Amino acid sequence: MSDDLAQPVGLVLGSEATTTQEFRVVLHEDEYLQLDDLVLVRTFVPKVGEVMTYGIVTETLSRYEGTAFESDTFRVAVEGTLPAEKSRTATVQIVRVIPEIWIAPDVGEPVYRATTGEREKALYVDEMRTGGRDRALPIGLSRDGELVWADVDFFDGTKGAHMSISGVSGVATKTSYALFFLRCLTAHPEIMGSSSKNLRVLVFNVKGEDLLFLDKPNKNFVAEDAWHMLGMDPVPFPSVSFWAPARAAKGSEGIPASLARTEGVAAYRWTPREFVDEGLLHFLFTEQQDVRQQLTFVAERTTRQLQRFARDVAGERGAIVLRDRHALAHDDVGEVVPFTGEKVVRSLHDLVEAIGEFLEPEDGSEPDPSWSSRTAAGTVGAFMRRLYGALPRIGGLVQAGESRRIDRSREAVTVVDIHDLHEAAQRFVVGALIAQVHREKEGKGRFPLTAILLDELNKYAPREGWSPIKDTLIDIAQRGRSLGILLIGAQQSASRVDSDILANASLKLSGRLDAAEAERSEYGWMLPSTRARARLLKPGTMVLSQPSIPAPTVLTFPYPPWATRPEEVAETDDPFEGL
Amino acid sequence: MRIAVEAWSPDYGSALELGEPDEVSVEKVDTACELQQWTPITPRAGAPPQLPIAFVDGTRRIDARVFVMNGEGGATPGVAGTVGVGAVVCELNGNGRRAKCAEVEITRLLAVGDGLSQGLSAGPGLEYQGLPVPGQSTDRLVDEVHNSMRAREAKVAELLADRDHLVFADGPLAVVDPGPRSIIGFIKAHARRYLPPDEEAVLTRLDCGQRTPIFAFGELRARYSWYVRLCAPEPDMHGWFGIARCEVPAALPLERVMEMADLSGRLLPGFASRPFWDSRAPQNLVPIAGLERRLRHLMGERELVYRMIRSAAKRVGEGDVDV
Repeated sequence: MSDDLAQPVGLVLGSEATTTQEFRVVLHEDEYLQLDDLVLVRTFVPKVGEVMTYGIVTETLSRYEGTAFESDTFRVAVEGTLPAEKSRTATVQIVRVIPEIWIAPDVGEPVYRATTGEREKALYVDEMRTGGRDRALPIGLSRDGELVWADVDFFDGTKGAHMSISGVSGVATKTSYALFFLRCLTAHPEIMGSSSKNLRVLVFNVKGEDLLFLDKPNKNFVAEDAWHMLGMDPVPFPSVSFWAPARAAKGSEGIPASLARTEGVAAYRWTPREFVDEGLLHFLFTEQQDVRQQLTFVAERTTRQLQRFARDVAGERGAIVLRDRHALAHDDVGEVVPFTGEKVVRSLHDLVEAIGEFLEPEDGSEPDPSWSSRTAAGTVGAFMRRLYGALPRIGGLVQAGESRRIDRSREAVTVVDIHDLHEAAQRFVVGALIAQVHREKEGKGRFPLTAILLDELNKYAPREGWSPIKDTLIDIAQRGRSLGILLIGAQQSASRVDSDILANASLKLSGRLDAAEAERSEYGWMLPSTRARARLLKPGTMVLSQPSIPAPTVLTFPYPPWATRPEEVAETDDPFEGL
Repeated sequence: MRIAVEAWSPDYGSALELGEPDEVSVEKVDTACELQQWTPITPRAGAPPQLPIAFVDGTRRIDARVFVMNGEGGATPGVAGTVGVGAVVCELNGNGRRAKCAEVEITRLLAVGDGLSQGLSAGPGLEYQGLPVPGQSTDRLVDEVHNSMRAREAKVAELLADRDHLVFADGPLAVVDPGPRSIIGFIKAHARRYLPPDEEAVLTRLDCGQRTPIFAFGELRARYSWYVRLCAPEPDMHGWFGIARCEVPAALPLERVMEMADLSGRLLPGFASRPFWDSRAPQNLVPIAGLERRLRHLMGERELVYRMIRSAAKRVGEGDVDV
């Protein structure tokens, strides 16, 4: 028994009943308990012996005992006419009993602060370390500066997977925490084992250019003990590749459209050949009404036809022509030389026009039935209008030329900037990349793992409706454990995200919540007291729910050593060095 | 015609039960100690007292009526009673004004007739001490429990007065003569008239914090006394509303008594209770009410105590315990 244990902080309150869920502690005059403190009580149970009850403080109270009127406070504290004792108590939510004899703790028993080994038991850390495997990953600190652990069996797919982070925007917590968590994953190979080996992370930068400096030291960073307590070196991400959309202007294809950072950022886009091969046409039809109008059905058909008809153009990388393989029996596989007047597809615009030749022939004849599969003329018309409508928004992302596909194998972390794209183009990029990850991992076993960090998940997997991206995301949520794809989704309101995706996230976190949002059933995992506090959480504070611990844990995480804005980048090198 | 409603709850009777005007106290009253010609006195201003002020009170409860049988068919009546006494000490100087309970003591008594000394152990904290009482009258048994409480109150009052507290004791200074100690008997209800009609008329003219001149009475135990009003008079109440009587032993010099009387006028309105707060407002002072609540709480749940006495009595009958 440690010294701290020797000094009880108070006694189990006996003027009201204790239960197997909750009890109150009446505090000694010179002791205190604050929210989230962990305590333990020993109860002697007849025929069983000693039972240890562990709990977490969910509320603290103070009052004048024996006063009945509110004005009595003045009589006691100001006038000094009424005798009354000040009583201070704390409400404790029971989180664990050892051995598992579910009894209410005895009233009047001393209550001790749970420290060191007892604290780890209260947080089930001993269970995360059974069978010779240490699966307790430090992922933050408690209010009193002690470690908080997550059972990574419930993240890496062993027993569960995925993480869902909710919280209002602007408090800059969701993405920051997700990145911190990823850093924890890679910093502890002794705990992560094969899960962290060759772990690939795909991060979408959706707001500002915040995530384009993960490899740069932060000049505002002051070395904190917290990082060392967590067993990590406070250094920026060592292996990151950055991708921004290629500029549309001719001649500057290789130049990324990111403004804040140009050095070390690669430009991305797809060639018409890649667009056709990867079936990206789907991701031009990601809006709600597209399903209702059967446009996705036409898109499906068109995608298949494109894959059948597309032929590479000799001497023009990534460009294609559309030819009916059966009609031209002499035509061999491989590159072809365009006929005179044949439409060479070098951009999305060209592709749309080429599709139009089949679906809306210029001579006014009926659409080619092998392309339209006899869909109503109105639907085909709507399909073509949508394709033309997509051109100004997405057209810049498809261009013949050198392949600028995003290469995720280059570095451990791949940051894809989409913040400056139109919403339709954002959905296109996200859909294309997630489908690519999905396709790559399908049938290849869990390892190496791939984590996808996606903010504003409600845009891609909204609660209502269907879209090809949502379809893929739900599949990842449901089968990601076996596919080895781990989704870290962030959103302002969990209530606006598909419920399958939320239900499959083993680790649930929440930063500050809007008061109305906090009352929703999506946050049923919080205690009533935690919900009330969720409105007040400060940046850098999160509430965590994990399957291993039956009560939510409040944790904080330290300031990042990497820059989150261009102004924060610490210039390490002299730019004129070597001149 | 006007009708005034008694401010005290009907459960407590009335603060004023004086009887006929000619039924003046049998005591010989000297009204000329301080002033020949009576008029309301506004206390002289002064600093708050440096001494702590103590309010002493007691409460008693009959827990059970018992019969002690000696095996020869005779049954001697007895009562098991609980007596609680204590004080509230108020420090009025300085910023940290606080009222604290002090010298709180709970005593369990088994008063048995025929002069029998018989105790009863009913459990932890429920040790009833034998209190022999002559005769077999139940009223007498209850009175003896009450007297025991009064005696204990007096002891606490004397103890605190010896520690230089200004002590307000509950009720008249009837049990013991405290000698020249600073103990003020505080009388909430008026069952006797002490003053002739002319002087009594002054009493009804008192304003909040004002007092009557000092008068003296008591052949056996000589005392000085005065009336003081604890709150502003209310137009629709009778003239005795909010009036309390104080008495001190005549062994004190008159000069000191006048000082104490002025102090009572200055201090007591600050301790007076309000009608919504206490059903015997304003005379049941806030510290006293707080103390009584504490004492009643410490006496334990009546039902539980009763049951424990019953089972203890049963064990005595079975010879399981020594008594």
